[in-house]
Amino acid sequence: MSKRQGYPWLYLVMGACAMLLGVLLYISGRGISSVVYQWIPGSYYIEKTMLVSGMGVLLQDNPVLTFSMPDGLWMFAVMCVQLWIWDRKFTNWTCAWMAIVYIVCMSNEVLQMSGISPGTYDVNDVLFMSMGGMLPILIELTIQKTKKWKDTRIQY
Amino acid sequence: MERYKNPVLAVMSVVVFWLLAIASSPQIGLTVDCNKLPTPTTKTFTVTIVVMDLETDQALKAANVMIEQRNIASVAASETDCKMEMISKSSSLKNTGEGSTAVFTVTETKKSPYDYAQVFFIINKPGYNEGTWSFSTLTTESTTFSKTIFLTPKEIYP
Repeated sequence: MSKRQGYPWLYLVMGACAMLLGVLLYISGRGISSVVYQWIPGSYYIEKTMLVSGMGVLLQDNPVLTFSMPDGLWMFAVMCVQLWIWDRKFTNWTCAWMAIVYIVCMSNEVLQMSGISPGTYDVNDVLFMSMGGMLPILIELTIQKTKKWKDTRIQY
Repeated sequence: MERYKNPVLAVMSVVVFWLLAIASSPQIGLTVDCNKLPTPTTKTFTVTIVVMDLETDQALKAANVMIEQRNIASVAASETDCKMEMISKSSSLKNTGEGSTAVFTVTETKKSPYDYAQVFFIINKPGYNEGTWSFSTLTTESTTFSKTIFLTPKEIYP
């Protein structure tokens, strides 16, 4: 069994934070019409606190934050979990699996367009999901490149 | 076994996230809410507004009557099928014309007995102070009624 690299749990934490932010956006943006609101006890107080803090005005002025941002955060969390599962390694095997997961998750929007999956198809959703899914990969690649570059400098 | 661990984990994570996405879909939530509501009921109100001069007690011709409504719903309105477009009106602005009367039809469609609308009328005529009147679709018993609005000339109460 190979030993896990430095900070795999960080991606789980990042994914959890993204999901939490998505939940807060659902509660404060969509209110009682959202299932998430009905799932979480005390949603009423969370909603009121968010609204008092000025979040309500922000969400009203930018509906994309209510309707598309949670999708992007969801995709971000999915790919964070993939990085944790595959231990942040980029081989042909792991890249293929991550690409499959990415495509499968993105296909949710396509299924929404055809009416198979519940939800409303929106171009903004696709945009946010694409960016949200790519972001953890880009972050990890940047970290690895930076680390490699630093190691090279130390050698010289 | 170790070889299959990560692919299985990856598939499981996708399934879990997918289920979360579907379960938290607003459409699923609203379907639940909508199913709890009874069959929609429709009620049509016919309102005749008669405009008169308070000082002379004479009928006032060519006054403008504007109608507005505010939906007061017990459940959250949203962008989907569950939305409570409770009320529709024949026209938002009418002129009383020669007969000094304006007739409005207001149709209310509601799913919950607690949902209602407040209907406002604003009456304007040059040289007169603005007149207002409103009624609630919840407390109004009759669906056909007439209301006389008296306007005061500006020179009396400017």
